[in-house]
Amino acid sequence: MATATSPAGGQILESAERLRRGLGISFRDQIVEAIYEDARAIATGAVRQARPAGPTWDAKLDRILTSRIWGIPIMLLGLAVVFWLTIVGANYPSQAIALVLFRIEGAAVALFDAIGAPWWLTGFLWHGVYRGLAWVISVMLPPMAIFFPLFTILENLGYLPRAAFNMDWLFKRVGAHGKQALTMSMGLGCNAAGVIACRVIDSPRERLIAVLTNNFVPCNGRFPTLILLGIVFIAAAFPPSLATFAAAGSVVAVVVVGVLITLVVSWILSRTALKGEASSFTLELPPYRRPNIGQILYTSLIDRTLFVLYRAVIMAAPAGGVIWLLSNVVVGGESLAGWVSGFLDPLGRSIGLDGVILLAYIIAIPANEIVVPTILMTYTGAGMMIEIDSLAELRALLVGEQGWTLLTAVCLMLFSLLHNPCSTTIWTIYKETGSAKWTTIGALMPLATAFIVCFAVAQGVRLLL
Amino acid sequence: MTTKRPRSIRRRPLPVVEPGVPAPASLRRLGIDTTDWDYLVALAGNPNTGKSTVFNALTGLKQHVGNWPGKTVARAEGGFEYQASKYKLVDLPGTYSLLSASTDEEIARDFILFGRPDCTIIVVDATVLERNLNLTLQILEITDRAVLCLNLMDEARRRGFKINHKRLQRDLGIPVVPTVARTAHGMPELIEAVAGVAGSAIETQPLRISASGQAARALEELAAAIEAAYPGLPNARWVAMRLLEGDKRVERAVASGEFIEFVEARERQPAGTRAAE
Amino acid sequence: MTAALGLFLTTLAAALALALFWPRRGLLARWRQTHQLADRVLIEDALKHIHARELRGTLATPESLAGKLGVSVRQALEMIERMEEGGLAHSTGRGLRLTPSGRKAALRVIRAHRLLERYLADELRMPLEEVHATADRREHVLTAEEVDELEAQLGYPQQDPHGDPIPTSSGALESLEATALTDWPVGRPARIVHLEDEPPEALAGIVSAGLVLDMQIEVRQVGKERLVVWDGEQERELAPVFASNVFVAGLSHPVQPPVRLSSLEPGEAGRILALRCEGLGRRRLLDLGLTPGTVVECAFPGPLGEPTAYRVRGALIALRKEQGDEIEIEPVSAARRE
Ligand SMILES: Nc1nc2c(ncn2[C@@H]2O[C@H](COP(=O)(O)OP(=O)(O)OP(=O)(O)O)[C@@H](O)[C@H]2O)c(=O)[nH]1
Ligand SMILES: [Mg+2]
Repeated sequence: MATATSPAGGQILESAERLRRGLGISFRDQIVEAIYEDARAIATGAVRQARPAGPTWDAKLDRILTSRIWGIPIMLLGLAVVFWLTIVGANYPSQAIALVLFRIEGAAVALFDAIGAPWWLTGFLWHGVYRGLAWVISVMLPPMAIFFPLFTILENLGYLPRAAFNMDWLFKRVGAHGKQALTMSMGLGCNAAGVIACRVIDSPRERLIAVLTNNFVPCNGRFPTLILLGIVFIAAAFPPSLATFAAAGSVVAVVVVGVLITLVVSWILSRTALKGEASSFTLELPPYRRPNIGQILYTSLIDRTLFVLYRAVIMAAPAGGVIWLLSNVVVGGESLAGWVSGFLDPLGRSIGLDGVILLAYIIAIPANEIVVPTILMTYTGAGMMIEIDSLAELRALLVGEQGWTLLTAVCLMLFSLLHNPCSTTIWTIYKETGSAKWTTIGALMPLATAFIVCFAVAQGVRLLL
Repeated sequence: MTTKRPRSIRRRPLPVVEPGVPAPASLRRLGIDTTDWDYLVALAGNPNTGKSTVFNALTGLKQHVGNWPGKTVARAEGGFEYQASKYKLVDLPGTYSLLSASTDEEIARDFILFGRPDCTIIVVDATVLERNLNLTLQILEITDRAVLCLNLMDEARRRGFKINHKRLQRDLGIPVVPTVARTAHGMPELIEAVAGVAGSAIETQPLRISASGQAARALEELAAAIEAAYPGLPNARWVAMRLLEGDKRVERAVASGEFIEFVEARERQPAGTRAAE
Repeated sequence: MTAALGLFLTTLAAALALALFWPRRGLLARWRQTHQLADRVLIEDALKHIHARELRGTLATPESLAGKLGVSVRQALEMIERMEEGGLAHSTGRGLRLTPSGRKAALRVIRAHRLLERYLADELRMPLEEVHATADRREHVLTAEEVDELEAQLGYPQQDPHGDPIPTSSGALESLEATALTDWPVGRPARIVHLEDEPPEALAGIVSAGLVLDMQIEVRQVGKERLVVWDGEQERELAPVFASNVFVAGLSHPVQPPVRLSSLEPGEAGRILALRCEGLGRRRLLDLGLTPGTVVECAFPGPLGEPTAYRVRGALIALRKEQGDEIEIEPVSAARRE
């Protein structure tokens, strides 16, 4: 059996083998039954029902939250409410933070000019590195600091397993595991965390499906982009009183599209590369618990703030520098950014986007957060200042100067939802699967999906109009 | 099947940990600092019983907690200091049993089996004690250095359960501490018990599984063979059980004799000196 | 546009080159492996065929071997020569016989095959009609260690999903006591102990008639065209050619249709009698406390009709219909529920 067998060890293994034969599969059963028998005896001795159980709202709540009629609508409504609160709540702090941060930029630039620092140093440091940082903080932090506490409250209430319970039927139909819904919920926070959460799925085939499709839930870094686009483009088509609802609705719609694509891709994987039927599914539904709201607010606020700040420093700041260099290093009368985006432009246009957006997605492979600032900085070019704290100005820039349409916004939302995972997630997929093949598929399959879906939407709409 | 009378449970005296011990003034939460630890302590238990909440209460860290089974999927480490000894605490993913199936459960299982903790805190849900004792009894087959953390006592009370924890302690043969981890109720007593078990001040006499019939005969026969080959082996019965189950990892360890070194190393090294390694 | 096209074509070419030349997984490497494998596959299949014939009491001939493997008789004779050189088989006047080492080799392949079937059926949930063909393809590539590993992982099953005994690693094979359904007397209760897996068409016919392993049945009627069996709830019809591939053993009590956990309505309860599954699924259920003797109450179904939440030892556990079907219970009235 093993290499160097000790004589006593070998003998023991032989008798184990012989005894096991006599017992067959029933040994485990007998042991488990014996354990449970002891457990029952001990528990019966120690536990007494002193008085009848108090009123249980568990059963009542379950009846509503998993009801045939209300179960799924409540899920969608809950999601919409969370997004709406996020959008409404984040608006003011976002503007306030942007105001302060960009005032600091202005002051710093003035100071640098006053002491006679060379223009490229001022530009690189303040218009590049700092601006990347400031954007990510002002646009990312407030929505995340609102979304996450709300989500954590749902999580601590015990709602997530119910959501998985409600959705399992769908996952079963596509040959996947119901706990995939749990891993997708974790993916809302961060796809890398979602991929790690896939460990709760015990069938290897279904775990791999969950790992490969986790990217189709928009993560932390992509939400604010979606929210921004929802506000600037979708909500603008509605009367002001309905604008925030429309924006929230559009984000929910994107998430629903993400779930549908997840189901379709899972189905395809179950029929092709990861052939097999849905395996056994067991899920414990814990009792509802009153969330410890004060503590949740405190910990998830701190947690998210640190997370966003950390990512801003290690990802967004360097990226800001890179973008500044790309748009300011001029070769043959055109900036590097101009060259690359010009090269990518035809491809971008064919899927409803443009070259600058694709360039932004290439630069944003390390971190999805910086897609929008990259687009804006590339559009506005070298030293041009824009105040990104005003949505009206943003709209003017994108629609007025760059010719974005509603189609561009929709395609960008879809592309943002579906494109390749960020480098952290790709690395996590590699660590979790230990396979270069599946990591490659995990990175390229979403990218292909994004191109196909956006191409179909863009060309379809253009044909119709 | 369930109507069969349980065999009598061995009762041995055990220093009872009285609830209400004054809060240990000498507890210092060390956060992620786990350098130079004297004792290694593991947190094990069924999913969603409050292990991470206990972990946070003891170390002052902010491990994520969530009301669903499977929130923790990787082990987390933290430290605390109590009465001039440093403890390294390891939060493990929840597991229903040690006959592992999924990756997160394997992490927990491997740590309890091969991580050699000086004390394992078994966190159980007091509202569904019977279910949780399945894992508890399995852990007690492997190690006698364990403390039962009877958590979620507030919910048990709300549902009208009265739990005789002293009787439980007698039946199981390890210290039992009722807690409400969320409000840190019972944490002082828990630390006290952990320190006692890890520092060998408390002698435990854990209950062993009472199999019957054919399985029991096979188990006894094999355990006797193992004990004959390696006298003084503390958990021959557990090894026998794993071999009958066909645990490849244990089989390899037995075949190569590495297993015996593993056990001897454990015996040789008094707890508390390992940090010097 | 041309630039984009260029980029696209370069990527495509790179991807193609990778797919072709990737070490061990690339098409080229695969092709080479397949070629080396084909030889071994043929020999192992030949050994299996000779073994099967020996069990049935007839002997394999070069012609039967050629027919079974789909090769010409000349090739079959060549293979027999090679097997004789290797000391695996020898020809007698009436046909081919295995040598002890040939029998060992045959049993090793059969063991791999049946364990693989178990794995495919239990862990991957492949339909019963498909497991045989898939296992046939994969049985040749596993090493003895891998097979042992698989056996332990599956919890030492004793039968394959068709009811055939699995040879042990030391090469012992239990014999199966069973009678073909066509030879079973009308009206005597029986239990299905074995479903022949070849030819696959027959197995598909049996499966679509609703007959499964461990089912309790009684033959009602035997005709030229069809054979009617009663499973305690309904009559099932089967062509006699298919019925000859169903094997049964006697039952000491009248046919009782099993009650499944999945048949409970919310509020109803049952006591578990047996788990009709193996492998990971079974382990999971046992770990969750669904042991025989446990009383389980159906709590509520999901919004889409599935899964269903059950109350087990104080906890709520959701199970899909398949799991519910695998748990046999006896109904318990609300009063006796304790
Ligand atoms: N009422 C009450 N709730 C508690 C107590 N301890 C923990 N909880 C809650 O129980 C839930 C689960 O807690 P966790 O600490 O995440 O449980 P865990 O054992 O780490 O769970 P896994 O990591 O999934 O195995 C959370 O919602 C906690 O807030 C307690 O003593 N009383
Ligand atoms: Mg935890």
